[in-house]
Amino acid sequence: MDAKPTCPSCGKPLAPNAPKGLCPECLMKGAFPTGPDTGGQSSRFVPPAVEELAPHFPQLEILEFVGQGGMGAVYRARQKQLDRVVALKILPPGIGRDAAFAERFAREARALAKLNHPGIVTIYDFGQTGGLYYFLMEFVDGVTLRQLLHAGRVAPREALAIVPQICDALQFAHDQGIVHRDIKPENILLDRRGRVKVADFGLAKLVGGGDEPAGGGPRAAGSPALTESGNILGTPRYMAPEQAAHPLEVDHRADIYSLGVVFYQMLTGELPGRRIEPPSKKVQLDVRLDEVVLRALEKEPARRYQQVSEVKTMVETIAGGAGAPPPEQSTPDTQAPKTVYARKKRKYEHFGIGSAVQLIGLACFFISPLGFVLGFILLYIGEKLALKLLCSNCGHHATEDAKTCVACGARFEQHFSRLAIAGALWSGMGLLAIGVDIVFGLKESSAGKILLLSSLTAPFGMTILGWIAMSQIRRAAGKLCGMGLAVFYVLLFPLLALDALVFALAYLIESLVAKLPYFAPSGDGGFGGGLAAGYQIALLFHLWLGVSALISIVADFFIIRRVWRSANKPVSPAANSNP
Amino acid sequence: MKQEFSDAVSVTRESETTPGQAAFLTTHWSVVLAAGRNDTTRAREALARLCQTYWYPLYACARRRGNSPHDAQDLTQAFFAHLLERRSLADAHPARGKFRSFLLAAMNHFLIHQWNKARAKKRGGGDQAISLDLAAAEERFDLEPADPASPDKLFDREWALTLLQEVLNRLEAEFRREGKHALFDALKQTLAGSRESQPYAELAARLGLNEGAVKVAVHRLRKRYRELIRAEIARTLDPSQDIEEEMRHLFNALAGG
Repeated sequence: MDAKPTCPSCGKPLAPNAPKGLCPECLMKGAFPTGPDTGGQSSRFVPPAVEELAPHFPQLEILEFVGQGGMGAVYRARQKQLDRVVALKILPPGIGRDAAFAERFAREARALAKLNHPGIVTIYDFGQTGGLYYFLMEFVDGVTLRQLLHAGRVAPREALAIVPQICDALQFAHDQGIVHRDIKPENILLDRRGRVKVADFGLAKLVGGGDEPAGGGPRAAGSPALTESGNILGTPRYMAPEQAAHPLEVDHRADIYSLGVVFYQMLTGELPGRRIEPPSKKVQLDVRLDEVVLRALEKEPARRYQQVSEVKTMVETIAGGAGAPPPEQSTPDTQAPKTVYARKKRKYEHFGIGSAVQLIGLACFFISPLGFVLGFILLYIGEKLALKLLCSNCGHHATEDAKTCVACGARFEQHFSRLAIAGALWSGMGLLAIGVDIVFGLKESSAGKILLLSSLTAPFGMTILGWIAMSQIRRAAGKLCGMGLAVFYVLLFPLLALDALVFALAYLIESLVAKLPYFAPSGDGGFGGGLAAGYQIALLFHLWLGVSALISIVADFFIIRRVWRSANKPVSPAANSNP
Repeated sequence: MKQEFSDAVSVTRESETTPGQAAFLTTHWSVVLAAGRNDTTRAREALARLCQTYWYPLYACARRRGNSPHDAQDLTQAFFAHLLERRSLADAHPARGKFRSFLLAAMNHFLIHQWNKARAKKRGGGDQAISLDLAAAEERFDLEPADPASPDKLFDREWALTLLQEVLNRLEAEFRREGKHALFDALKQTLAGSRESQPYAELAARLGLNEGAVKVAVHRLRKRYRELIRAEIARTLDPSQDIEEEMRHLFNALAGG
C-alpha cells in the first residue's frame, strides 16, 4: 500500500521518521498546557512539603502531594501497617483557632465516618497533630469532574451515567441526615473504572461553620477554572439560593440544587445564568432532561425534587427510554443502537452562483462563434455548481462520495422501497391495458376482454402493494424511503371509490328532488313551477356537482392527512415489551 | 585526557530506561554552566549525557552541508571530543542560555576553525567520546525529505524531533515498567491532537473499558507527557530561560517556519 499516512489531527502527511508514528507538530502542540492543572497556582494556603509532614504522621509514609482542594491540601500516602494507599487531607492551619472547633470537628468527623457507601469517599480516620487538622480517607485514583469539564461538555450519554451514581451517594447520605452542602465538580471524582465517588461530605459545614456568612455580597464568581485558593466557603455558583442567604438552615434540598447546576454544566458546558435556558436549546438532547434539570434548579426548595432518588429515577427513565433518541451533533455516533439513515437529495439552487454562471454562459452564445464554446463550458460548470446534494435528514451539504452526513451522522444508505415501485408499475400496467384496449378497439374481442379484466386487477393490486410497502417502510426505521408513493397508491383506489360513492349518493338525492312536482315538466314544454323552476333545476344540477365535489375533497383531505400521520409515526421497539 | 573520555563513556553506558529524578538533576545543562571553569566530573557527565541525547541533529547538519556519511561521522565524533575536552567553551558563550543554540553555534565554529586541523589527526584508535549509532543515523538521514531549508533550520527541526522521540521513549518505558505497554500503544495517538477530538468511544471499545475510564487514562497520559516534555526542555536550558518560549521556538521549527 503506498497511501501516504497522514496525521488524523492536522491532516498533514506523516514523515517516515515521525516519532512513534505521531505527527511531530501535533505532539508539540499537545505539550502546551491547556488547563491550569499544569500551571502554577497562587494560593494563600501554602501546603506543607512532604518532608515537613512526615514527622507528624509516623504511621504513614507520605508519598506525594496530590493537589489542593477547597478544604485543604491532599497527599497520597501509605499506611505502613496495613500497606494500603490512602489520601491524607490537611486542613488549612488557620482553621483551628476557634475554641469550639475541635468539638465540632470530632462530631462531624464521626458522622462522616458512618458514611460507608461505594459512591462516597470513605473516611478512615481523623485527628489533630502538631496544629494541623487532618483526615485520612480513601484514595481515589482518577480525575475530578472539573478536569473532565475542561474539555468542554460531557457527552449526554456520559452525564446520564454519572448523575445516577451521584444521586445514589447523596441519597444515602441524606438518609443518614447528612447534607453535603458543597456539591461541585471538584468534589466529584471518577476513578479509573469510571465509577463516581463524592468527596468532602459535610466539610463545608464543619469548616465554614460558626457565624461565618456564606455567599452574600459581591464575590468573583469563583471562576470554575481555578482551584480554590483556600477559600473554604466554596464556589457560590453551585450553592442553592437559600444556602447563600441562610447557610446554617439548609436541608438536603440544597444538594439537589447543586446537583442541578453540575448537571446543567455537564450537558451544556456552561453554568446556568440569571435566566436559565433549557439545555436542549443549547445542545441536542432529549427534551425530557430539560424538565429534570430545571426542576432541580428551582429557586424555592419546595418546588424542587424533594428526594435525590426522584432525580435518579427520572434520569434513568430518560436514559433507558423508548422512542428514537435524537442524533448527537458533535460526532457521528456510529455505535448508537439507532443509526439514522438518510439519502442525498438533489437540490437545484436557482438563485446561486451556478445559475449566474449559466446566465453568463447563455449570454456568451450571442457574442460570437467562439462564444458558443465558452457558453457550453459555462453552462456545464454552472450546472455542476448549482446542483447541490443535501442530507435528507438534516439538510446539511453532502459530497458526492460521502457515506455519512458530517452534521447529523446519518448514513446515506437509504433505498427506495421496491414494493412501492411495484405498486406504481402495476397501476401503470392497468392503465396501459385500458389504453391499448381503447386505441386498438379491442373491446369486443376476447383479447380485449382479457386486457380489460387484467386492468381491473390494477386498483386492487396497487392498493394491496401500497399497504404492504407502507408497513415495510415503517419497520425499516429509516433505511427505506418512498412512503409518499406507497401512501398514494394505498389511497388512490379507495378514495376514488369514495368520491364516486359521494357523487352517486348526491345524484340520488338530486334525482329524488328533481322528481318533485315543482320540477316536473308540464305538458307545454315548461315546468310545473313555472319558468323559475327551469333555472332552479340548473342550479340544482350545479349544486349537486359542487356539494359532492366539496364533500369529496374535504373527506379526501382528512383521510390523507390521517393516514400520512400514522404512516410516519416511528415504530417504537418497546411497544411489545412491557415497562 | 584519556581519563576524561573513559569517564564519559562509563556514564553513557548507563541504562536509558531508568530516568530517575536524580538523573534529571545531574544531567541538567545548568550543571554544566554552573561548574564554570572548574572541570568537575559532574559537569563532564552532564555534558556527556546531553550530547548523548542530542547528537543526531549535529550529524544531520553535517550531512546537509554536503559531507559524506563517513566524513560526517568523523566530524561529529571529533566535535564531541573537542567539546568534552574544552568544556569551558560554555562559559562566556553568548548562546549559553540554551544548550541547543550553544551546540549549534559551537558546531559551526568548530567547522570553520578546527575541523581541518582535527581531520589531519589520525582516524584510527577509536577514542570515542560518545557512543553514536552512526549506521542508524545514516538510515534516519535517508528518510529525511529533501528539504531546501538551511542546515541551521534543519538542526532546530531535528532537535525538536529528537526531543519528542526521547520524551516518548521515556513515557513508553514508564508504562512498560508498570506492565501497561498495550495501554500506551492504544492511547499514544491521543498525545497528538486536542483534548476534544479524541475518539473516546472507539478507544473504549478497543480496550474493553468504559468511556469514563478511558478519559481518565488519557488525561493522565497527557499530563505525564507534558510533565516529561517540560522537564526535558528544562534540562537543556539555563534556569533564567523561559520553557514556553523554547517550546514555541521548537514548534515553529517543526511547522517549517
